[in-house]
Amino acid sequence: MSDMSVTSAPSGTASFLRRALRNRSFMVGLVITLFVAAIALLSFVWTPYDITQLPVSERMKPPSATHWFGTDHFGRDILSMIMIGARNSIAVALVAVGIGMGIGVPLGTIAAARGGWLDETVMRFNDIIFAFPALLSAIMITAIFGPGAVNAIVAIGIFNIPVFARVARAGALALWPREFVMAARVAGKGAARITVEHILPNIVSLLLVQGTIQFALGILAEAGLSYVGLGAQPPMPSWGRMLFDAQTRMIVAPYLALFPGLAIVITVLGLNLLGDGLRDLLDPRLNRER
Amino acid sequence: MTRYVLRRLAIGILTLVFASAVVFFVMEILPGDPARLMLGLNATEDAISALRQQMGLDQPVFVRYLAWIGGLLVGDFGRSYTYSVPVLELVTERAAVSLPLAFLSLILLTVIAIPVGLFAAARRGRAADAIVMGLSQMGVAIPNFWFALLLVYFFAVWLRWVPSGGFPGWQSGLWPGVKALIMPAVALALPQAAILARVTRGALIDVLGEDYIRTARAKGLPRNQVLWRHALRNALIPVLTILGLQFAFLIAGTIIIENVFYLPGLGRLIFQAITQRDLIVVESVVMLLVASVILVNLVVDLSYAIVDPRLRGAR
Amino acid sequence: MALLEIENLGLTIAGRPILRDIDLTVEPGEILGVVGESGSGKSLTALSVMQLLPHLSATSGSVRFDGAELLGASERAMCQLRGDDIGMVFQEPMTALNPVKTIGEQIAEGIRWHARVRAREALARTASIMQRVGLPPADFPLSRFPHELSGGQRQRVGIAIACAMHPRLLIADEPTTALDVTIQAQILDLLRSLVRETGMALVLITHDLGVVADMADRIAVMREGIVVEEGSTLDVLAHSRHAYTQQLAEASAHVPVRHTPPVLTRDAQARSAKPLLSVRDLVCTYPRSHRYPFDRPEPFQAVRGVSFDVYSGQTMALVGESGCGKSTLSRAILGLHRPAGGTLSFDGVDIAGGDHEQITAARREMQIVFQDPYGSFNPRHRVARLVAEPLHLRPELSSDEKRRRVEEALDAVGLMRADMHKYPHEFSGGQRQRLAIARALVIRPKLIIADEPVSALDVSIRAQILDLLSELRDRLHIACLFVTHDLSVVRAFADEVLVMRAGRFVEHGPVEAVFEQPENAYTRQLLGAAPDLHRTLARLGEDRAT
Repeated sequence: MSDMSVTSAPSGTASFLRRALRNRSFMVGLVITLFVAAIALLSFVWTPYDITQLPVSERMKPPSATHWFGTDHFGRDILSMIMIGARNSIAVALVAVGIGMGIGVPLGTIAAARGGWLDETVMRFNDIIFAFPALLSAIMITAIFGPGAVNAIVAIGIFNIPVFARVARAGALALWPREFVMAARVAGKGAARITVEHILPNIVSLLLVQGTIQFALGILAEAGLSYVGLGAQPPMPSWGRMLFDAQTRMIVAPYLALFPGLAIVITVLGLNLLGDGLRDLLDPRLNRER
Repeated sequence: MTRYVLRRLAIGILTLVFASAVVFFVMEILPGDPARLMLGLNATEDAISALRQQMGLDQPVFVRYLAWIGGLLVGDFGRSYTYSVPVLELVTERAAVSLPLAFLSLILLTVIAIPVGLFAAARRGRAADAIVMGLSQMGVAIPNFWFALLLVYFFAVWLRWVPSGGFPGWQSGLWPGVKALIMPAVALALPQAAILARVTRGALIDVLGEDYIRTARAKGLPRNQVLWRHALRNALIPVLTILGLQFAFLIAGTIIIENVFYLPGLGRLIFQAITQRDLIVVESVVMLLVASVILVNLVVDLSYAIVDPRLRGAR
Repeated sequence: MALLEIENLGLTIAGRPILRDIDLTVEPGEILGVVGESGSGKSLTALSVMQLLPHLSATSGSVRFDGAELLGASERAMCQLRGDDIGMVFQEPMTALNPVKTIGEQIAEGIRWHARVRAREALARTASIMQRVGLPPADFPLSRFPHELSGGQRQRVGIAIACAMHPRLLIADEPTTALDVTIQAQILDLLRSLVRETGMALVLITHDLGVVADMADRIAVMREGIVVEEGSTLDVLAHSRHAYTQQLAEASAHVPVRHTPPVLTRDAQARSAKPLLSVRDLVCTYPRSHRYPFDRPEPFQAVRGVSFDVYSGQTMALVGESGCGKSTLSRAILGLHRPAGGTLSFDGVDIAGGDHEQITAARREMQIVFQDPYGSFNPRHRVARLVAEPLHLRPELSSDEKRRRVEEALDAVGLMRADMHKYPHEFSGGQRQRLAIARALVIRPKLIIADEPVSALDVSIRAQILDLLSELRDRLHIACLFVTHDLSVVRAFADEVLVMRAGRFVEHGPVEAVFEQPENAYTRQLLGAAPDLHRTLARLGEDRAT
């Protein structure tokens, strides 16, 4: 990573907003992301149907005016389940990003600041965690503690740690030899203070972009885990679990698999677009002609 | 060169040792008494102590770890409690489905992603680039198991071209086996290929901004020659890094995708083992998969040295 | 008919006008120097000839090579011309070669492409051109990779690539700017002899008037996208009609006025004054990477036991080429690098020992000004905070007092107090260097270490910054350790000079003495290699007179 991408000149809020409004992928991504978040929040107070009711008469209804996305084998409204499932997806992915950032960023910045054996240890620690994709961690945790939504959070969160540690370390390493950091050292500032004043503010944009990417990956991972039964457990609706239920009934009711899948694709697409847009907006290299 | 290779080998082995310690810790220390956990609440004390003895739980932790590692090295993975057969037997039979699936998808992923990335980079900013990048943006967002469901619905249910799943076994010949793996491999590879194609394009475009590309153009080489002869090899370094990470996702993906296609692979084995609390099987399969991820990353690290001469002299 | 005729060339990039009405001609065997400061459009003029312009560029007018129009020529035709009839050498030898291909492959590639010869023939021709550019294949096998060569050697490879097909026109864009003076002299010699031997024409683009004066037959001076003056070297430089050219010539030989007498070590010793900074037998090392496990290699000695003093108010220049250890030495003095041996004392206090409080106290009296005006500020902080940073060492000051100090420092360097609320990117390069000086002054130091403070600046800005430093030195009586590779700056600015090579001092003395009668062979070599505008003009004038 070149060090130009680490820092970007701050410009006025107004001009940032103007550029943001013109950045198509940022705006589309933002709108989709806000929409999904709004749906998830809405589901706390209102859904079209109450999904704790299992009306036998409404089983396996294809999409219609009354049930826009149809109903499942218990007669539950798919749209309502997707709305509530959004909560689960967002919560798992968000907490997992929080775990990754909360542990990974301090690890990465300390490794860059101290160097030497500490840096080497952090990097080797990263190597070890990278060998455990979230699914393998979730399998181990589930085998011991039994299935549950928390397993998914922990497994995805652990895998996020080395990702953020690497990004933070690479960004910080590019900044440490810079002259403004040396000037701060000449001014008698210690490594901790320099990290807070000079390093972190200049890697925030990198972390933000990585955060949206990991958020999107977290949603995909959560869906995969609940699909194989390692994530959220019934009756809590989750997008992955809905696809698992749909699989055996696909010949008669393909719509069961269609809508939860689309929900995942749209959410992840929105977050990825948001991440791409943010990177463009925060990376000064792209503002210049190349 | 030798120093770089030795250093990478040492790091690979170290990672493997620590990863095995993690697996051992989680599976055998964390539960307190694995025998009790495996047998469930209704087990008799006699059955529990018999299993404890079989698993060697009466010995100190460190001795157990060494015995376990020593066993793995000579191919003794222990005995499955539920199947009452050596775990090695179970695992080799199932790995014969999962590992070919993972490698098949790795190959597919590479042969799709790199040409697509090259194509898009060569036509940067034009319509073809925009279309390819738009499609790949979609591809990145699609969960592989949902994509697999769509493939099954389209090709097996609707067109009836292929069976919707199952595996005939390698004893029925190479081609029927490979045929059964093609659709799962496509389902696994395409979403990852979308990621890799984007990385390839981005890496190429970064490299195309370098000074030495201008030097090559000033030599009189046309654009496409410069792309092939100068940009591609330099762009391979970030591409290899991502490819190594993707292998871990492919391994995890096989486990999930086997459920869609009813493939008798490690994934099915591991989920059965979880329901039956057969910790020894879970432990062995996880260790095997972790080891293959580490191995592939080692191969990636070593191939850097082939791509980048600067690494040959350095650390 | 001239070989290259540029007529009325205009260039816009994304609609922004870059070049206007450029008229230039180059005859076979002629060296045309194109001079200008950054942003003058000299490089883009060259890239217009090569048709290697950035995306969204639009050209107008006419560029004819050997009578054939290049603007709007097909890409195919340009590919045949580039590297065959027209070669180009670029500024950065470190990045201009492909790191993953051998130098042999990179030189042979152009030969095979243009001459369509077999691999063996191409290799033979590669070997001969390498021999010609001073890289005999016996010592520099074709299988070397760029990272195995020094900067000067890489630039020779760059020249070999450009000249492999014996072009009729060579364009060299700042070919020696990134190189040390002694290497620069060698590369310029090589270019000159290639021109003489093959009769090719050379367009030499540079910001350095000394270099063009020495090399060019004719000179074109560019500014803000137009050619302001063009003519024979002597006419343009010695009898310039144009104010900008005169200004450039003056600025590049600018000597700031010194109002106080120079502080010389021998006078200070005679007065038995105490030195402000005293360095004794200082050794700085870097660990070498080990070759095999448990290998304990001897650390690399960047500074090998140097001793010197800087007295209050004295300006000491530390001169040397890249890698000589001058930066390591200045970092050790600032406490950024822990020395491996020797002593460092400031105002009589030992600052190498590592007593934290003493070092903090010493740092209150010592500040640094860096080379790169773009990299030396945190882009996310405003000026008020940036300039106040060293006041971290004076926690007892109230925030009002700190603010007053920042205002004072801004006044001292000629910036406005209102600038306090701006971000660094809102300033030009020269203004940023003023900010860097303000940051150093804010703590009222007794010693400023200036690490190549004017090397990244254009000559006219450089003259202003030197004037400022000189004025501050006189007014505030600040001692300065001026670290640089540029001898002309040393002569203009310093009281005494230390010449450093491979971690040791080879010469130390008052500026006049060192420049007039250098004792050391290396110093003589450095002085001889440095381009000197006035010396060259005097020679040209004599040539014409006879």
